[in-house]
Amino acid sequence: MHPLARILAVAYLALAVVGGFVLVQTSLNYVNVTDINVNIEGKVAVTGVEILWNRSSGVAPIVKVSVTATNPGRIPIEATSVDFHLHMDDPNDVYLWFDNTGLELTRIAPGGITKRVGQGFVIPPGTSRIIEILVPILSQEQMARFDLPDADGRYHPVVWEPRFIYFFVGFDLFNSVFPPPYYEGLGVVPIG
Amino acid sequence: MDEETWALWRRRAVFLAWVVVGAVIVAAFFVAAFFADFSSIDVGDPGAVLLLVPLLTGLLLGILLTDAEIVVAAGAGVACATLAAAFVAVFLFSPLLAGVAVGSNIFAAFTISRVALSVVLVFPLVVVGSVLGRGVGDMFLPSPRLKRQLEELREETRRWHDALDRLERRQTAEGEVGETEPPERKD
Repeated sequence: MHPLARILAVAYLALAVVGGFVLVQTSLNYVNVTDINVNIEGKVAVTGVEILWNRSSGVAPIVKVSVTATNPGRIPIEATSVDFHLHMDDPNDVYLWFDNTGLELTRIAPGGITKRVGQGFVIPPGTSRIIEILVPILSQEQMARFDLPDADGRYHPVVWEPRFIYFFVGFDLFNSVFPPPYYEGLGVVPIG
Repeated sequence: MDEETWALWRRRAVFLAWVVVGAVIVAAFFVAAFFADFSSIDVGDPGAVLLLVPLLTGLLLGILLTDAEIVVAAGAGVACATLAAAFVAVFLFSPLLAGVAVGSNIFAAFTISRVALSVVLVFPLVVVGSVLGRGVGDMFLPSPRLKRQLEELREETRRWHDALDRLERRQTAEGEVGETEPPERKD
């Protein structure tokens, strides 16, 4: 072999070593990202709604929505955005809580939280995190749709179309999950 | 195993090694450029990488196979591109192979289209590169063995030329003699 060809052979081998590393690393990353994207379905859910309100204080009520997310994978994820529409089911109307016509009448306000990448809620592999979102009831119109308790004084909030957006820590990759809507069938008593 | 057989197998092993190494390079850079979001290195402009790396790898492969026939270099290019496409396919099917995902029609369509794209992009470039590399190697970087063979060939050609010259001179001399003495009759 020509001396220059020998040098090229060494460069060729060195390039292959780097290439092999890249191929393995990229494959592992692809597997890890796919693992989370496939298995996170069902691991994110709205797990509770609380109403922080003391009617006599005159302060506007605040609805606290808890979203629990579990990272099913082997790499950390960062939740950067959770959003939904807050409704209050009217126990006196004829519509079921998920009826589209009824939902038009019970819509209170959109709710959610959005963070920049790097400032979100990091969820390490195999762990869960609860993200709490506060929705203040500000206007009279919102108050009219909010203040609809049943005969026992319990409220039945509906968290409609929740969406959870997460990034993969260390990657410029993100994905969305659409957890099932949440309905507080037993009713919530305001705290405060 | 005699020496000749051993040398043959050694040449085959080296050929195979260069093909595998080339396929790893081509597949790695294809994946890093095409699936940059998953890659741990930034390869820069994906278009340039997708076009240049297979060509340059083929060129290097051809240079390294200068001792072999040009058909062997072209065959190595074909084998390298095929193996690279296989590596890309393994990468794309890795979630399935790792058992974290289940196959679906959408997944199959995505994967097969990407593998087909890798074949279309990589195949001609690697083959052309390897043939060009073989030519470049032959022209500028011949091995000492090839040089020696060429020198022997030249020497042999020279000897033939000398022999022909001598023959020609002798025939000319015989012709001159023939002009003074007519050829014998053969009854």
